[in-house]
Formats: sequence, structure tokens, C-alpha cells
Amino acid sequence: MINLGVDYFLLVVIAALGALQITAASSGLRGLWIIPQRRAVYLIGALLLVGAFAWFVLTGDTNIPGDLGGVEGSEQFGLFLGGVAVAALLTAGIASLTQRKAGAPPAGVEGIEALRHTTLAGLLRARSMKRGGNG
Amino acid sequence: MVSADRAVFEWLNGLAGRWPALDSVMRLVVSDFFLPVVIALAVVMLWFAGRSQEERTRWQWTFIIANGGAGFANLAVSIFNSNFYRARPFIALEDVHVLFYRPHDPSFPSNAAAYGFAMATGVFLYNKKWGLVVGAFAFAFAFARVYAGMHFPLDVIGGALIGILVTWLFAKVLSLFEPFILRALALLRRVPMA
Repeated sequence: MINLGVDYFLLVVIAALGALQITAASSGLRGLWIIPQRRAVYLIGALLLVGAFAWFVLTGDTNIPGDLGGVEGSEQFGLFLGGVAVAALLTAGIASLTQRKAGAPPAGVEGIEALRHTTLAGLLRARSMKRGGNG
Repeated sequence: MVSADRAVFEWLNGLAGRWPALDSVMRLVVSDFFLPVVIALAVVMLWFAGRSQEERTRWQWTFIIANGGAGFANLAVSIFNSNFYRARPFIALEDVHVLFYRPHDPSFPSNAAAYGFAMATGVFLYNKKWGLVVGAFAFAFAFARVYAGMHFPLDVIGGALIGILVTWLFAKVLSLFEPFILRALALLRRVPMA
């Protein structure tokens, strides 16, 4: 254990990475898959999710009050939000790297729905090309 | 009622300390870093769930209800706590098996139960199956709080009722603003965050 706050943040990042992979696989959001193969995505997601909790539980005693080096409720909330945001950005970044050839989404499809057809980088690329074309 | 509450507590907490393996499982279940994180992650993932835009919008609505409900339920508990004090079992009674650190805040109502059941209610209102799954996690979390000597049974029942009622009310109120929420989601889709 490094520090309970840091360990908790890492737990959230890794567990959220895993949960995101499982959700992306079941929702068909290919643009968030870190490997372009559905079964592998499920497997990686489950391993990350279970592994994160196993690591956290096995690293030491986590039942520590906030005033003795533990994590207070408000701090826990902030670390959770930050951890999920980092996991989402990491997922989108890694998926954009592993699926560099992803093209543009169909016209009119936007938001998370567009990630069924392309990655975040592909979506941003398509947008900038569209803007360039319009200008 | 209070004496029955105490008797049920003594029976449940009396199970602690008998089987080391069960105590280890309960130490994990009662932890601030296990089931609360599992419940929160399950609800956060609803933001990305769905096989179509319509289905995803429904899940995102569920996400807003569950998180908003949990936030207001925690607020209701803290208002309650600042006006009413009930001592924790390990302060009020002798020979309590304590499997967790000793919090200083009041015992009634349980914030942990309010949070878990608020999240479960938020999901249940829109998807019964997943609501029951989250509800099972919330029940396990609340049960473990009693087993581990943190709360009396009435504390977790009170917390659960607050979580359920506040979330149900929040869902009713928010439905009045549905067009605005849907417009906000449409704007977020351009970023693309929804």
C-alpha cells in the first residue's frame, strides 16, 4: 500500500477501465474497445475489474478512519469522479491508438452513439475535416 | 420497538467472532471501498449502456435519477444527523463485536443504507432487473453494517427508507423538467459526452 487515497484512486481507474470495456463490448461501442475483438474485450474488462479489487483488498487494511490516514467521504467522492474521468480518457485514447484506421461516423450520428462506428480520434478528425470543408 | 431493535442487533452481531472466514468476508462487504465502489461503477456505466441512442438516453436518465437521488438522500441524512443523535451500538452497548473502524457520526439513520438504496431505487424505477441487482448489493452493505457492529437494524431500515423515498420524489420532480434535461443531453452529445 502506498497511501490509501492513492491506492483508492488507482482502484477506481483500473476498475472503471474494466467496467468500461465490458459496457462497451455489450453495447457495441467499438470505438471504445482497446482490442478490436469482442470476446477479448470482455475478458480484458473482467480481468481489470476483478484484478483491481483483488489487488486493493490484498494490499493491506483499508478500514482506516479519515482522521487516521483514511479517506473522508467527500475526498472519496472527488477521487471517484477523477478516477472515472481518467479511465474514460485512457480508454478513448488507447482505443484511438489501437484502431488508427477508424473512419468517420455516418452523417447525423453524434455523441457516444458515434463510437459504435469510429473512435474518439476518428470522430474529432471527421469533424475537423468537415469544418475545413465547410470553410 | 427500540428493545426489539436491540435484540435483533445483539443476535446478528453475536454471529460475529464465531467464524473467522465469515468475519473476513464481512470486513470486505462492510468496507467503504468495496460495495459502494461496485454500486457507483455499475451506475456510472449506465451512461454508456444501450444498443441505440434511444436506449442510451433512457439509461442516462436512470443515471441522473440514481445519482441525484443518492446526493439528496445523503443531504437528508446529514440534516437528520445534525438534529437527532443516536449513539452507535459500540458506544450504547457492551460486548459489541466491532469489525470496522469506529465512526463518530450518529447511528440513525445509516448514510450507507441511504446511499445504496437510493442508487438501487433510481435504477429500479427504469429497469427492474438491474434495480434488483443493485438492491441486492445495497442490502448486503446494510446487513454487513449491522453484523459488524456499526448500526442497529432500525438505523439501516431508516436509511434505506430515506434513500427510497428521496429518490422516488426526486424522480417525480425531475420528470417535470424532462424536456430541459433531454435538451441538455442533446447538447452534451455534440461534445461528445452523452
